[in-house]
Amino acid sequence: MSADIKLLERAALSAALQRVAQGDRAALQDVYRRTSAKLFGVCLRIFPDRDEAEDVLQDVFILIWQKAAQYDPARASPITWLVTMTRNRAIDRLRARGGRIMTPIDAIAEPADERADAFECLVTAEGEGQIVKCLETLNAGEQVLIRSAFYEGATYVDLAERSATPLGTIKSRIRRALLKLRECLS
Amino acid sequence: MTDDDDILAAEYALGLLDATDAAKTEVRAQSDSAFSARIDWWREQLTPLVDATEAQPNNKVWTRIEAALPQNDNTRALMQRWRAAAVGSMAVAVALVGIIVLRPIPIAPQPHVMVAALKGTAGASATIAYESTTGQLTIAPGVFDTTGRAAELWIIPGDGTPRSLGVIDVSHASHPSVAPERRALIKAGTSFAISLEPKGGSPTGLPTGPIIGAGKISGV
Repeated sequence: MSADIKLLERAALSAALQRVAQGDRAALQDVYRRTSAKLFGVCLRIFPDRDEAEDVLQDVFILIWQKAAQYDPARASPITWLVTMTRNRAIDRLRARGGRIMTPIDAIAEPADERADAFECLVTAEGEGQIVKCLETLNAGEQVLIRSAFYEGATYVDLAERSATPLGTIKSRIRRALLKLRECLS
Repeated sequence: MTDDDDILAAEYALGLLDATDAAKTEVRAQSDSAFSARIDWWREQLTPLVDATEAQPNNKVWTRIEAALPQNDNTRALMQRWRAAAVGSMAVAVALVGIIVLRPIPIAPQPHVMVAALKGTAGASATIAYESTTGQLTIAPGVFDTTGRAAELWIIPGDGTPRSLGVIDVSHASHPSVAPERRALIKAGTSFAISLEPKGGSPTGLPTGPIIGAGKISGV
C-alpha cells in the first residue's frame, strides 16, 4: 500500500468508528469489511481452532460497537486501537479458561550474527512496517521471543517455561532486544 | 523517560508482564501521560506485524455479529445525536458570546435627523424634527391652547433635568435653530417636552407650568 492509500484508509476507518460511536450499524459493517481479515489473523494466532477464533472475533466486534466512543484518534491509529482490543480480548479469554500456549520455543540459539533461515522467509513475506525490517536485525532467538509475545500473548513467565530458560535470563534477553528494536524504529 | 521506563512501556504493550505487574503499570499509565504516550508509541510500532497473519473469517461471522447487536438500539443513536446537537448549539452559543465580547462595540452613529411625536393632555400634539447637521428644528404643532401664555420647548436628556430650547410659536409650523450649547443634548432616546410658561418663558430655567406634551426622540 502506498503511503497515501494508508492515510486514506486510516481516515476512512477513523470516520467509520466515529459513526459506530453514534450507533450506526452500517458503519460497524464498514469497519468489519476493512479490518476483519487482520483481526481474525490476530485471533487465529492465539486460538488456532477457527471456530473458537471466530467466536473471539464476534466478541471483539460487539466490544467495538460498545466502545467506539472511547477511541481517541490523537492517541492511536484506528487499526492499532482495534488490534490492541483484539489481542487483549483473545488473551483474556485464553487465560480465563486457564489455557496457555505451551509450544516449545527454541530461544537458545544465540550466536550474535545467527540468522535462522526459516525466519528470513517469514520476514520478507510480511508487510511494510518498519518493525518487520527491524525484527530482522535481531538474532533468531530474540525474534522468536518477541514474536511469541506479540502473536501468542506469551508473558515472561510463559517464555521462560517454553524455552526452558531461567526467567532472569529471558527478561534480560528480551530487554536487550527491545532496546535494539527501539533504536532501529526511532 | 529513562530506558527502564521505556522498556516497561514496551513490555506492557507486548503483554510480557504478569497480571500483577501489568495492573501496576496500567495504574501508572493512567496518571503519567508521558509514560502512557510511550505505550501508545510501542503499540503503534508493533501493529504492522498483523499484516503477516491476515486470514478471512467465515461469512457467517458478520451475520452473527449483526444478530448479537442490541435490538432497537435506535434510542442510543437518538440520544447520541441529541447530545451532539446540544453540544453543538452550546458551542454556537459560546462562539456567539465570544463574538459579542470580542467584537469592538460599535458606537452607534447618531442619526442626522431625529423626530419626536409629542402627545399630551387634552389632545395636544406636535411633531418635531431635528436636523443635527444644521441644528435646526422643524416644529409642526397640532392644536394648542396657549391663551395668555407661552409654549416653551424643553429637551430632557439622560440626566432627567430639562433644558430650555426656547419659547416656540405653536400657531404654525416653524424652523427655529437650537442654541449651539444645547445641540449635543438632542439624541435619540431623549425626549422633547412642551410646557406652558409665562410670556417670555420660564423665569426659573425649569418648567414652571403644566407639561402639555412630551415625546421620545428617535432617529430616522
